[in-house]
Amino acid sequence: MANSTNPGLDVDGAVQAEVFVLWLDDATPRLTGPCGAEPWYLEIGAQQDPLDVVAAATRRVVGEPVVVHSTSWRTDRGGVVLSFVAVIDAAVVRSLAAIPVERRDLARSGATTAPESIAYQQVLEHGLRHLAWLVQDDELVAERLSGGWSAVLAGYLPEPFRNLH
Amino acid sequence: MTEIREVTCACGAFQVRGTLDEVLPLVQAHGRDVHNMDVTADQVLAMSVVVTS
Repeated sequence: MANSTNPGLDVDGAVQAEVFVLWLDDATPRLTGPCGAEPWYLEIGAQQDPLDVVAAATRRVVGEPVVVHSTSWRTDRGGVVLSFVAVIDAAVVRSLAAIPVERRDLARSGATTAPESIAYQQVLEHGLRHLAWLVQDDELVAERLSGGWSAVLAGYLPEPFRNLH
Repeated sequence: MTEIREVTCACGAFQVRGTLDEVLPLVQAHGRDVHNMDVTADQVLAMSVVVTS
């Protein structure tokens, strides 16, 4: 890691993408990525479409994604950080370092203020809840995440939403 | 004697050591391919540390 004596290479810029590369190991979502089992950061140029950048980078560095979707944003790391989930087939990434995704409480904001701090696990929790909603609301995502993912994401639906079905 | 420099990426997955001419294309390739960053030679010089000379 970079430290005070070695500034090192780090992503910065006004707009950055934070990508959670996820795959399903039986019924357990796992977090992986080209930089290890942690969020992966990309710089987004002023004239670039963030989704295009994330999808292309995932395809180039990790493998063909099943779904790439933006799920939240926040100010952090000296800019605006756009969070994405990138779901990918297990066969493509099984050899990469990975950790199981554990449930976390969301970072709660005030009525008109942002949360004081947000851990990446909370961003990921929100991302999976967002995917769970998309599976209910978006035919393409539902088709792409049918089967095991759909069953796992059902556990991320808020109770009132679940009661509608 | 030629300075040997080291550059580490904050992502933790990349570390390279060599002369500036050796590390420059590797750092630029990692930045471009993995992080969508255009890294200049001056930036590589600034982010590197001299480990031997």
